Amino acid sequence: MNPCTLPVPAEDRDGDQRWMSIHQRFLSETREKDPDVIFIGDSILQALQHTDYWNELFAPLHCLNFGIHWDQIQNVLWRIKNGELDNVQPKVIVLHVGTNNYSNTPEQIIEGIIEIIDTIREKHRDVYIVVPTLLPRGHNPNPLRDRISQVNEILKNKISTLNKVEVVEIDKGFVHVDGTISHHDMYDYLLLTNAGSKKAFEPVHELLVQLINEGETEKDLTPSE
Amino acid sequence: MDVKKINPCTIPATKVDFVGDNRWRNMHERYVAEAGTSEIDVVFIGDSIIQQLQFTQLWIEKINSLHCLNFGIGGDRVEHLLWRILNGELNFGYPPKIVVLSVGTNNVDCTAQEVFDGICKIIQVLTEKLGNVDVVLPTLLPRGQHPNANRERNALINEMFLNNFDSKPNVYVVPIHDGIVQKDETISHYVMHDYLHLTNEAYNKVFMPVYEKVRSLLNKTG
Ligand SMILES: [Ca+2]
Repeated sequence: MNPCTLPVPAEDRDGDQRWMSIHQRFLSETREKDPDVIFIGDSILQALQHTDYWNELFAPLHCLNFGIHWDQIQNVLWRIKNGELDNVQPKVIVLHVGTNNYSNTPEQIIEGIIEIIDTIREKHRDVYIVVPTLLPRGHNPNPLRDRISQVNEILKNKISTLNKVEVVEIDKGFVHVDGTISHHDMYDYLLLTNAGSKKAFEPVHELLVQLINEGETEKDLTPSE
Repeated sequence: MDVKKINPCTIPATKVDFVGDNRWRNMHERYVAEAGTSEIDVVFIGDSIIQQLQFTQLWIEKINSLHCLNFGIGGDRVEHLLWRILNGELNFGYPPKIVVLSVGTNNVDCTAQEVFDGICKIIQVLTEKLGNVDVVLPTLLPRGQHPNANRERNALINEMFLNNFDSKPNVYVVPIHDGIVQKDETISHYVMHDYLHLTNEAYNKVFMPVYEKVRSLLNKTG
């Protein structure tokens, strides 16, 4: 059995129930807010939310960010199955998860991502699902980076063919010729600095603007009754 | 027979790289390199609370102008920091005048006494390696949306800070833990976005007394 496709809450390692508190808060946000875009996923998204880049470019698009540090695919799956995408009608959902599934194979990771996409699709038939590729990690080359590259290849070749699913390549330009990643881009060789956020998420921003506007155009063209 | 339980906080330890990307070791190596080549007055050292501080308005607009380095690593426990400072992060060409130290909240399976003893050991190493250095010790912050054992432990550690370091001439405890927990015992996500890490706005308020203490100590030493 593939652990990535079995929804589970994250383990409360620290004994302070923070993960569940965060999930509960996301649920209350879905009841109080009317987002056009929802980001859902792991540490990469959570950290993105605390950059100036997010505040300047993403916040004005009416985005909510449901990223949780350390989340694995099965945890995000659980959150979605337990209400985080209910009570909302977003135009776009941005999904980034998988970098923390360090003990799973690329095939298991892909299966898990497909399970999440299917679960989203059951709830939101017409929503655009934007899947940025997974970012490389570690100062120096390491087995995890190789695995992430393999996942990205499958994302680009297989996931991108799904209806209303857009895969965006965000992983280029981080690994230097000598194989290193700079702390100017990823301060801890995993999470993005403000400069790194711009480098990675600019194409995501461009696509979101396009998708949101495309929806508006369609609406405008609909003849009024 | 008097068998003393071994305190994990006082035994220097490297972080186990269970993910396999060697990030902790590479961050440490970067800090060692920075220590060797920088000329700064203040080094901030500790866990994610310290690490995240460098991305705040308070750091960028105020703290950074005091000539600082930030040697924070997310997830670090007392024993990890102890290892780091015993393995090159204090080998400064030009020793700093002040160390701001915050660690301990990640030692979730230790007692308050164990964490406190580990922090005493860190302060001892700082003093041995940096000589006439001042140590600024912000109190540990509460955590979790609701009351939990970690909050209680951190509160006990803070009492130990306040009771024991008064008599130490080079250690300055700065209480920053008050006013975070609300009347109903919860912590708001406007203060701690994940109920552990401060938001940018909260950093400006909570760490302001730390900035002011560092600045006044620098003025004192000239
Ligand atoms: Ca497609």
